[in-house]
Amino acid sequence: MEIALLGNPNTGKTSLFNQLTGTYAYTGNWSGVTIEKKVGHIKNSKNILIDLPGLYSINPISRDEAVVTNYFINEKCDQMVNVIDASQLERNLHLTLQMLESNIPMVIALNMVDVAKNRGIHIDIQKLSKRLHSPVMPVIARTGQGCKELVEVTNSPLDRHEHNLVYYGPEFDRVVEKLAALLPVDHSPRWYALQILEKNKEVIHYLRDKIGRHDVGLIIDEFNTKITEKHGKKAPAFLYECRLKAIQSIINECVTLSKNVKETGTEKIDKIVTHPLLGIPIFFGLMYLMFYITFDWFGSPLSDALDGFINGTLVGWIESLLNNMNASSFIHSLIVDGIIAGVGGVIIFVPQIFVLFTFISLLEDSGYMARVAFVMDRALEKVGLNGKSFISMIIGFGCNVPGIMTARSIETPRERLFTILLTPLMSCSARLPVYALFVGAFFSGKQGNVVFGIYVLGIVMALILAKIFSMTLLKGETSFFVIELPPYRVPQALSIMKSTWDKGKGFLQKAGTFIFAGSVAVWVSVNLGSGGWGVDMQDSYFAAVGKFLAPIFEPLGFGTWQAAASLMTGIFAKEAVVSTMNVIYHAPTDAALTEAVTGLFTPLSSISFMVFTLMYIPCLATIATIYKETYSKKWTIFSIVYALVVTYVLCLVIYQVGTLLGY
Amino acid sequence: MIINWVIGGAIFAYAAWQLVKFINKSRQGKCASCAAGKKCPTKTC
Repeated sequence: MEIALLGNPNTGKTSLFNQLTGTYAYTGNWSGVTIEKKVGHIKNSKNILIDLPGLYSINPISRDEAVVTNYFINEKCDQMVNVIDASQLERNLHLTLQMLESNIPMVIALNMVDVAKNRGIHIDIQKLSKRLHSPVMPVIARTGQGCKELVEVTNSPLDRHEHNLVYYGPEFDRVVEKLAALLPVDHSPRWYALQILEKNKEVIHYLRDKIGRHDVGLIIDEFNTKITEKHGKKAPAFLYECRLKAIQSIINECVTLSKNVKETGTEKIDKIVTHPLLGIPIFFGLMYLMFYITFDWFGSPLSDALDGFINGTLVGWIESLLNNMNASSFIHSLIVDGIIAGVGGVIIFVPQIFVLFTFISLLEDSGYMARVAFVMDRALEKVGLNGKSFISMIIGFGCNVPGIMTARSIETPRERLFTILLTPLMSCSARLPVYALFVGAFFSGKQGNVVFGIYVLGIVMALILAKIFSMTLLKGETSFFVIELPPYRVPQALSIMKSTWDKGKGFLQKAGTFIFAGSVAVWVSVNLGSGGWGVDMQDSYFAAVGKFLAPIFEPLGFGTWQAAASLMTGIFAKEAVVSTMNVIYHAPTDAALTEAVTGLFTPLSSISFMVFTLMYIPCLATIATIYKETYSKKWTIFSIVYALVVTYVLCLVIYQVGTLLGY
Repeated sequence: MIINWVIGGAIFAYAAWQLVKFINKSRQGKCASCAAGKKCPTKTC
């Protein structure tokens, strides 16, 4: 049996999906986390569970919402589990009543009953079940309470029948009769009638193919005319009001509110962290603390210890092993100067990356990130974006690819495009080793400040460019940002660990695969030149390419062939910048590399180089994702060209103004 | 002597394979290139 999991955004669908299936899908304490349907097998059951993106109405506005409509039109669904936030019953029931018009049996998972109780909301489960003609199961998805009972109910097949819970008037009944005569028997005429009259484009398109364009148009026009004449309003507004009346009747019968409910902890915290003036400074303050702890206090000593182990103990073991095997100097150099230098040089930054991601996961799981999107919405609105764009950008801190993909939940094409174009300015984990290397070399004691500055620069540049783009490239509609502010919760250790691992594991995987391969390729390139194998590195083909490009970077403060060549490999994956540097500087340890870079860079040119790495070009995977998400070569090329031009100008200003000021 | 060929051959073969695989996956974009990788149970991309 195939069971669809659906509900409003941020009602805990993905948490329930994880509890019921025992798998781990990415959850976030904010809306819009699920942008595609996810599939899993329910534990202790033969049933398959489909987690659908959250939506307020079945009528799709954004691309991820169209996934849900298309699912119900085109695929076979045997049962639905509708997740309802018990503390937001009135708003959640709109979707429930819409879906109850279909003939697919529904089980209602009344989630967050604990939160509702704390807010003084008492729901009579039996009455609610009777009114909705469906089983209602109270659950707490986060802890798994009630999930066993929910699975038991879904295991027993329920009858397929329409429920007719809302009376939409005789005109609507006539539309249902007409559709019943035209549609196949397995299609629910009430559901299809409601969808086409509420102008659900996906369903209208489907029915035009099924029963003919003329008939569908006629039915809609006739209904619209009659409703406007009789009630003086448009059909969707009329249908919405009918549903609202039915919901209010259900609420009056099933819900009682306790008086004298105390102000909750969440409300007290929100008064401060979502304050119009304090909200943004608090966010940046927390960000600063996060970088301070990661780089100055906690992460760096761990990275130093790992560096000591890799370049001391591990290299010692490998060298003695190679000596025992009588390995040639060629193999010796390949492994020590190529692979260990390249891969090891990136691996040593893993502790810093994981410490940083632990903090980001903590903020996400606690519910604070939803507040960040909320407070940032005000600033983003002024530049033509909205809070949802910031959610994409925060996800982009881990990896830009999923960040860009979550832009699908943004309603207007214009805001979606801007978010896709600007998310690459968010500093992903792959860029961290570059910052860690340079702040370690030049900014001892102020490492956190500098990295914090780089991250903030990425956000500020995204805001400035959004404003410029919205004034010049595309003018048009903006959408309103609606976000649920979920109650704060104590982050769960397991969830934090999983979330941190998900964000950081790509970095580790790349070290063992692409960075390994890239280091070997760079090692070969620096040994190969017109004089054959084993030439001096300065005469290698790799150096020749670097020397050709170096003059371009001269005005930015890093016109060496080594810097140019490293940036070139970074186009494939940003981690490659540091691994290439390790190989070409012949640096066996992090300390040796630090010494090498201090000879070729100054503090000012190192800032220019870090800013250049932050923004210069999206990596290959990000470019391909931009193309797949925009379906446009023009915008893909634009994303590369604008990044290169803006970064070049910005670094030129930083270096030249800094030089003039005597830095 | 043989050991040098074995180690060198294995390293270069693995590196070439990973390089081609990485570039092909990156060029596909979207899910194929996503850091979430196979852990993401999304059915369609």
